[in-house]
Amino acid sequence: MAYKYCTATNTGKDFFTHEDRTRFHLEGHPGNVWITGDNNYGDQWISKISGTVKTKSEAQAIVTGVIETSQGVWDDNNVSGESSDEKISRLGSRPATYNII
Amino acid sequence: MTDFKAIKGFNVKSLTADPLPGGGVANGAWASGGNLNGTNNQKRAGAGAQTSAIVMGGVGTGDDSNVDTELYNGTAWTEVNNLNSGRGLAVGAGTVNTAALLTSGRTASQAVYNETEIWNGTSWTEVNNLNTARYYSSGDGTSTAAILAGGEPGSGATADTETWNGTSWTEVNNLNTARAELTSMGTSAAAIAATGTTATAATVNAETWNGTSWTEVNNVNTARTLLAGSGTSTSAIIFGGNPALAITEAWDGTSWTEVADLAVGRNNTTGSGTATLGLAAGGGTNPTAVATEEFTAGGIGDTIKNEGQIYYNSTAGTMNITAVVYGTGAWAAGGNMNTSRSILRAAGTQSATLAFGGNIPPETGSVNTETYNGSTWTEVNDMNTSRNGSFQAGTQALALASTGTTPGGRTANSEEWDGTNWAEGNNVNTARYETTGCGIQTAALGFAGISTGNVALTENYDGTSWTEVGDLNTARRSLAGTGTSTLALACGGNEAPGTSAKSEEYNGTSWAEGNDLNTARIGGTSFGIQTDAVVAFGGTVNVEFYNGTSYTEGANIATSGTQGGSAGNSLAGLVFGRQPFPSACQATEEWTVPESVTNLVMSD
Repeated sequence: MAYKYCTATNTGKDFFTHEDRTRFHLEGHPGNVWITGDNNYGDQWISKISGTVKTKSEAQAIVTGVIETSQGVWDDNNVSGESSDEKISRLGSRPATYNII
Repeated sequence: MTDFKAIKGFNVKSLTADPLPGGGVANGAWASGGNLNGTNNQKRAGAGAQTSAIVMGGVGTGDDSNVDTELYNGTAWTEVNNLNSGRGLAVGAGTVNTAALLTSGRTASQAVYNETEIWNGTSWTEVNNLNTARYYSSGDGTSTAAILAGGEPGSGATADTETWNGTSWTEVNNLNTARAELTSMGTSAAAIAATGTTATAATVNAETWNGTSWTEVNNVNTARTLLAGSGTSTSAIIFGGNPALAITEAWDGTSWTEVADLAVGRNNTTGSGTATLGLAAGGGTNPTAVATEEFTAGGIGDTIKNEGQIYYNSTAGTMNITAVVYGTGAWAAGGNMNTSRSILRAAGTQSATLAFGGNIPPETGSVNTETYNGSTWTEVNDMNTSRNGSFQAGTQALALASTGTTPGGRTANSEEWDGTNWAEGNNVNTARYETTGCGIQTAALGFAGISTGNVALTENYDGTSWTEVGDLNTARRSLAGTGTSTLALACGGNEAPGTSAKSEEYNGTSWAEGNDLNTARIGGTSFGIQTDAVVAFGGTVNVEFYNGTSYTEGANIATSGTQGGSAGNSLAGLVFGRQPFPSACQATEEWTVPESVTNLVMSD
């Protein structure tokens, strides 16, 4: 399956609809990156939400950049005497980078 | 003594046909409207709404270039000021009869027009011309943003498309199939063009416009020419056609379905309005035909009153019952929360939700409370004690928040929401956080979490005080929980170490192990009841549905996260907030399973 990539801010209600979700593949990722199915409905949605079209590598770079920033924040957020498990409990697991589809 | 009608609102009846659902284009019907005033009502252009329509121009026998304009108010047509350039076979655009556009067209003596005129509610003004003069074209939109596609420039059909921005026409990408005598509905940003004639024959072809290009979509059922239509690119009806078709088809954004016919078949009629409130005026081979018909979605004849309505179908000879059927659920974006947060808790339904507390970076624990009405989140009065990861129970009107993490550490504090304010209640027995709960304000259950370490402790609230009851089998924190104080579900969580897929059911006394989640998760959330629950979040877009026995993967949410909130039930729920560290999220996604009432034959 082919995909398209864009960035757009989730404006809330009706940003994507139930109809959208039944018509084409849709994923949201850090950095306001959205992935749609590469079809007419996906194109219409990107147009509707005024998305900025990206290549896959551009979208991946945005996602990775946001997560790496988060990793730095996580690494720097320490409490004296705190165990690793306690830190995870306090902050959640350390953000991990991943590959988008 | 209560009878069947008192229960179901409908006596057992003998009907010659099945009753119909109460609404929808599929069950719409045409009814007669007020007659046009003009004496030449062929090949006019139309625009506007069913109760605010405009028709203009026309061409036909004995009238080379009709300049007449008429306005419709839902009851009667009124003649108003004339066009500057009389013509028929033109295209109209506009959503009301006080602001419209007319362009293209032809006279009986074959003069082809590219002139455009704008109607301001009182008079017509000439504005910039189309780039390509043509007739038998189609278009829609408004007086400031319209689209025109296809038609005949003079010899043969064209695929040319132009868009109007309120000032000028611009040539844009062509239709895939050149055609004339077609119809189109929508706007300059999203439209659909259907059927018409190519160089050789009428076509069933339909195309949608996304603001940039045309894409072929599913065909109409009946190829035809000289038809009309109303609606949008995702919801439209087309009707009439040459020579005197009455056929009406409805477009739902995916496919075409035949619906109720016009009472009087006709070609060259006008189309105004929407898919649910359409209007056809004039048309046909008789230039003096003045008939208007109004299409209105909804039920006709006997309608289904409610679920459980029993009747005898005397035609089919069957006993029947109306029953609810469910479609395929999907997630959609809801309104954004005012405050981004994670590790929050919530209560209520999809259209009446209460969300409270949570981690609002860089805070640890918040007093912030918001309500959701199905569209918008609104800030309401704060809790007295900031917290995240607390017990949760109740409704939007009567909720309970207990335990959680505060800036001072874990708390045993408990508060009750009365629809306006939070008031202090009696404390729980064991302070903890990263816990969860379920039930209502006067009969709640709180379970698991972290105290000095993970706990399996469960406490029951009777509206006054907390009592320890049977422990979970597996101590954990950051789990999902839902249900009632006597029938609860706990799943996933952090077993420290280890991400849990374990699921347990509470029967009012003790917890029993059930089948595991398919995806182990920390920071998940759940809504619904013990035997019909939805589990989301936990660092994944994956959503699972529990039927009381096992978990099944269903439609994913759009955006992954962990430690979000949720409310509702398996037919209508929502998830919101969530944590992609270090920030929190304000996004909401709504889960809805469409449901409708239909007729079923009763059998053994």
